[in-house]
Amino acid sequence: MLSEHLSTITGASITTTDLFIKELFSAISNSLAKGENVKIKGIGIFKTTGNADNPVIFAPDPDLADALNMPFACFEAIELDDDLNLDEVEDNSEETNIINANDNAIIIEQDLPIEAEVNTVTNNEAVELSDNESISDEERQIEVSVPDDTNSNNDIESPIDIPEDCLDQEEENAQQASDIIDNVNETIVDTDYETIEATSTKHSWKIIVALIAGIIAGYILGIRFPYKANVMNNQIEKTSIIDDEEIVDSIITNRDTIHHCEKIDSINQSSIQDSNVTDPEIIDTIGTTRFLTTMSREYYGEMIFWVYIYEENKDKLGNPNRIKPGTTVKIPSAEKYGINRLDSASVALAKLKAMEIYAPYQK
Amino acid sequence: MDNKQLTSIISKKTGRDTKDINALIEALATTIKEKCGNLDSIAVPGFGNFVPIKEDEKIITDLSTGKRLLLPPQITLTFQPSGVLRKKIID
Repeated sequence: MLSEHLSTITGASITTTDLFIKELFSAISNSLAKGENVKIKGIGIFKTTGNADNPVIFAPDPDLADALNMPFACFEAIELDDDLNLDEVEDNSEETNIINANDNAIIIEQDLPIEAEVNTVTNNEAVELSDNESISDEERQIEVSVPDDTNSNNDIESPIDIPEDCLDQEEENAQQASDIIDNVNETIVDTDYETIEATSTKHSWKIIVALIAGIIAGYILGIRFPYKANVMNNQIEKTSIIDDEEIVDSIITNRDTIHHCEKIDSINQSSIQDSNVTDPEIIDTIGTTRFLTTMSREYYGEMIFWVYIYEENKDKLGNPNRIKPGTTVKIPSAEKYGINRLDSASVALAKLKAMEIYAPYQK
Repeated sequence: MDNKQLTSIISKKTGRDTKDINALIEALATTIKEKCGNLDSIAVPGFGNFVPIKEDEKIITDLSTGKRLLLPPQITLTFQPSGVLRKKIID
């Protein structure tokens, strides 16, 4: 019932809202019967036409029409090319996917020689490296992970075919690559000073720079995530391969050793809490083609949930239709606001929320 | 008849303040937005039906320029007067 709904919104009694509805529409019909147009703020205009088939025309208020079409607000009319055919559009979309795939392939191919060079240099220095047992497992894995295609490339691998200049360049590239590998190792394994010094006697100054950078990075990470870093260090000593799931497991086991009296259920709960604590905040930036609605569709699967991103960043956002590009917004987790695109109640709540947000900006 | 005249008429008939009437009109607009936004129609006995009609996206051709435009989907709110209202207006 309309009167009941009005009663819940306004807090007035049903008899009052019922009387209001009766009087409102009787006043409108009386006015229309006299041949007058009736304008109602926020609803629209009723116009008489004098036509027996369609005696009344209703023109909704612009605010009402905008509110109804809010789910499609992010779309605009697009001018199509004369030669454009819808079948071709589908074909083109497939072609662009193929092109993107090819682009990736080119990038990989461009990257391959550097990795291959690293591989050849490491092969040339096999004696040094093999004698040195302190090479970390991660470094070996990186070397092993070079694709087999590069090994089959004789031009790169065979030292006979490579000119001396190229060899110098290869050495330089190998130095850079080894520095990158060292950086990766340092950020992952924190600081394993002895192994790094043993493997990099030739280019000590670069490694020192990398070491300092690694120490600074480790120090910063240690300040920001002290607990997690300690746990990771303990875990890295035990295992060479780091996996996110294993980190979570290690957090659980370490907490378990600290708190011996806790049961398995409580461990699971603590792991859930830890995972919540360590969840990084998602920060996104408004662009000329990236709106709250596009972010909502990306993160929550529906555009209508943009209201919760707005709610999370209400302090810095004003009119939702006039957000400046470049504004950074925090994306709340779906659980925080109970966002579920499959739940019609959740969608309806979001629509209501949108109306509330738009209400202050309506003329 | 504009909004002020309408609210004053209803205010006199119901014996309530114009502010209350304005609040009720605003609540009615919110209800229409909510219901019609969900593509539900609103029937007012003796007056008519507010019926939302959803149009899918479509391609139109501008006859003056010959250009084709891809229009996004939209919801149009229409009003269908009841028989009583039709009769009242025609008579």
